Amino acid sequence: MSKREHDLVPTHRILSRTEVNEVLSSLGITVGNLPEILASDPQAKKAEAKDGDVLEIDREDFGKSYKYYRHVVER
Amino acid sequence: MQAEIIKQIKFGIFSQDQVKKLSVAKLTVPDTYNEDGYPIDGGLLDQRLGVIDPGLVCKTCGGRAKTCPGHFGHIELVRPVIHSEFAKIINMLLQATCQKCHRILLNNEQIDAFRLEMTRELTAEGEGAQVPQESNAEKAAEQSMLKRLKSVKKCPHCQTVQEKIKFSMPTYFYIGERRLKPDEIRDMLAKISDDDLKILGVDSKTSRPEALVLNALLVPPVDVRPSITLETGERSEDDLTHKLVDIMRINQRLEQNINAGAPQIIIDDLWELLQYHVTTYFNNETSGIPPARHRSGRALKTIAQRLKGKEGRFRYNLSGKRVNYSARTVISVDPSIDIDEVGVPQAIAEKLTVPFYVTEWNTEAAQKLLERNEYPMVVNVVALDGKRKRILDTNKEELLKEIKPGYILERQLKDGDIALFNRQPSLHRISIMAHRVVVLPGKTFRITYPATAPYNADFDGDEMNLHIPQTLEAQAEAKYLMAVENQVFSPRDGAVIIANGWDGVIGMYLLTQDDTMLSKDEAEHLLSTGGVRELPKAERNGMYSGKRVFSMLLPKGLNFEWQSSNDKFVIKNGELVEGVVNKKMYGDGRSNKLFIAIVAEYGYDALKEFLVRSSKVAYAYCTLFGVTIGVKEYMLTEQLKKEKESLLTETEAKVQQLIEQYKSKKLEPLLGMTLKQSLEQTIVVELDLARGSAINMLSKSIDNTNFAMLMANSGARASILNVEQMSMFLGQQASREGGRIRRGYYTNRVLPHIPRNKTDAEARGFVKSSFLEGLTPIEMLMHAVGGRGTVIQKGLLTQRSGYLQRRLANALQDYYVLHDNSVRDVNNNLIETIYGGDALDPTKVEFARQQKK
Repeated sequence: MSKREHDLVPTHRILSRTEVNEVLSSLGITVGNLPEILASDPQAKKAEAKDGDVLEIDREDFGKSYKYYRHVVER
Repeated sequence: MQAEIIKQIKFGIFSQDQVKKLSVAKLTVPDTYNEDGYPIDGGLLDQRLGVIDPGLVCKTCGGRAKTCPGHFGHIELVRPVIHSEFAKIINMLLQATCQKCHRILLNNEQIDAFRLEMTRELTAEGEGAQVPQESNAEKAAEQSMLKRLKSVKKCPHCQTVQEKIKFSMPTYFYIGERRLKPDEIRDMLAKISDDDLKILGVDSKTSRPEALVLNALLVPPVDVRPSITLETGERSEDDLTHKLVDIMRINQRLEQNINAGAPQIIIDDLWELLQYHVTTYFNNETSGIPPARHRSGRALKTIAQRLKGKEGRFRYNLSGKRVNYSARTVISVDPSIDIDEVGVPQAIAEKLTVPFYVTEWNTEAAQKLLERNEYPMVVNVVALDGKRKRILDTNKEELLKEIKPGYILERQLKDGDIALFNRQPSLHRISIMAHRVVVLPGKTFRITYPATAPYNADFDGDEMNLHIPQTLEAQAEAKYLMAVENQVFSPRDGAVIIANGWDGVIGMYLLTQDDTMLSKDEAEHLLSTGGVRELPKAERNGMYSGKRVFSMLLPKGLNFEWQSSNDKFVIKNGELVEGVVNKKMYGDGRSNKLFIAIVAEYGYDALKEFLVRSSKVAYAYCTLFGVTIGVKEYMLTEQLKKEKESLLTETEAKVQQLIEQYKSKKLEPLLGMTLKQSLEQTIVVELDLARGSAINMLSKSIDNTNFAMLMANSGARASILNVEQMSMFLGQQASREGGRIRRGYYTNRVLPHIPRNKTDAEARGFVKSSFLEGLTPIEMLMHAVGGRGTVIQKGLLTQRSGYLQRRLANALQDYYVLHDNSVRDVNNNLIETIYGGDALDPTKVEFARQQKK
């Protein structure tokens, strides 16, 4: 079984340039202020994210769903 | 205004030239004052180094004690010495370079390869971060390179065979068998090229390695090492001055001996002594050498000691500072003040001040205040230019005329002022809360019992700190965000933390019993102590029911219902119609929903009022009722005694039977256990059962007329188990490994008094006596074994969890929840898009649940 396909792993999606700008301006921050995710992370690989992309993560805690964002970095 | 942001700090080493340039005086006389009490020219307190005595003028800048910042001087050492704090770096440099040509012990290809690696690292780093940091990869590369250099036998540049250089702490270097003198080391270091140094990680622009061998020693200004004049008129010099005198004395002797052409051994000895003094001048705790001592035998506090550790400059003076407008004293209880009040001793109230800001609307009031010349009076006046003037009889009239809007009067603390109250260790935010000041006689701070919980305070000698917020903004913030009554619910899980306990709970429990009836006098007494000026409706016989009296304390019109397996509690329209108040709904903890109902409907003020009034009534009712406790609560009736005896014999017989079964292999094994384990398990269950039935017997035969039982039933203190252990028997004691106690004496028995292979109840820590009867010596030991286990476990657990909690708190301390419910840090970095995934505040979750109903 692949850990990329596990039920408990939330979906990761690459945001388009315009979406990124929207998200950042709504939060009043720059890309550097976002939490990071390694480009080598299994989920980032699955989404085929590259250095500099922003991933949107569909999280669910206590039955409530919300979006989380991570800045993809290569290291 | 945005403060300048520091991007980079670079530390370097003063070269000998820089030292001389910085110095205003070359010091030559190893002494401080002459016979007339004046600083000697060229001595350690030379007036060119600055002045600290009032009246003298600095010979360098012309300033006086207050205006002269102090100036550095220097001592020229006749023979160079090694800077001991950098000895390790000197060693590294010596190991890494050729002893003849002083090139780095790498061939050209290796140098190029290493340079390439470094530049690659730098550009990769440079893109993301603004500040080039030494990355881990770079550090690792450097480390491995140094290791390689040490094993190089032959210089790749001049083919010289390298001798082994040995370094011995703190400042000795040997080449082969011969000792390397500091001047030789300096010459070797001086010949290393800038390019090679760069590869070794040394920036030659700011720090040339030969500067690590000292020729000229920088002497700090007198301001750094002030001398103290004792009352006797005797001068006492700073430790640093003492050390510098030592250095200069040896330096002078060394010079004389050299000039006199003394034998080399004597010169070398003095040289080494000079090295010792310079080493201890920097750090008197250098390992490998004895610390320099004062005449009295006390070790001197030199430069490193001034900075290091808990009492050093950093932790003592920079991270932690003493503050004004604060007070500290012992705390004690006062049941008569409110939970959000703090009793402040008169003497402290007279010292602490609160600003009164003069405006055009309150100038008259300000003048009236200023006129006062007894207790709540003005102490200082702060003028428009910020100058603070103390009020004296002589200038009062003048100041009365002078004050106008913009002035600030500093008034003595009085009742009703806002103060922040704190107890260390400040483990959570409620370790600091805002209280209202009540000035009281005595010398201690006073708080109520319910307010001790968040501080984790008790009155066995605890001290607490009081701070007076000095701006209106700070006062308002404290009052509305940090007030005690706003902290009733824990930010951790919404549990009640500020509540009544002990007598408070017992009092309410007794008052709200179904059959509690009070005479008019009694009802009046209780309610008036609680501050209620009305009587409830009387019963037909002219008596007042306890439940109705209690209801008078509740907010008008409150509706509340609560039910658990054994309790039911109903308040309808502000009247307690069913149930008895106990710790579950009135005390601290998650089960207290009454407080939540009150706050949800009437707010924190109403809860505070209820809490304050009810505790006063509870204490008064305890007194009225006569709550007391004695040995009699734990004495058994003849009937119970017999029952207990038969229970014990029965249990023992059962255990014996189980052992027999085991021996004859007839015992049923339990699932997943060996026969032996099954035996242990069944015995433990059997013995626990015995204690359970003892509790049952007890609770059947004694009721609430027994005060021990009353305490347990109301939840005020202890449980039935404690009553049982005192009056019936203690029961099985557990060992630290879990299970019955079996080890101690070497043949698998606890004591030599117990026959071998005896495994019945008594032999393995079952205690048949009660605390009242007293324990037999063997039982006593068993009890002690069990007690030790508990103590050890508790100690380990609190220590570990405390440190875990502290690390977590320190890591998270700067995070905050923004208005959009996202969590950020100080640099506006996003931590969470929604706090906790649901943006819920634990202190308020229960309100929402109440309102849904």
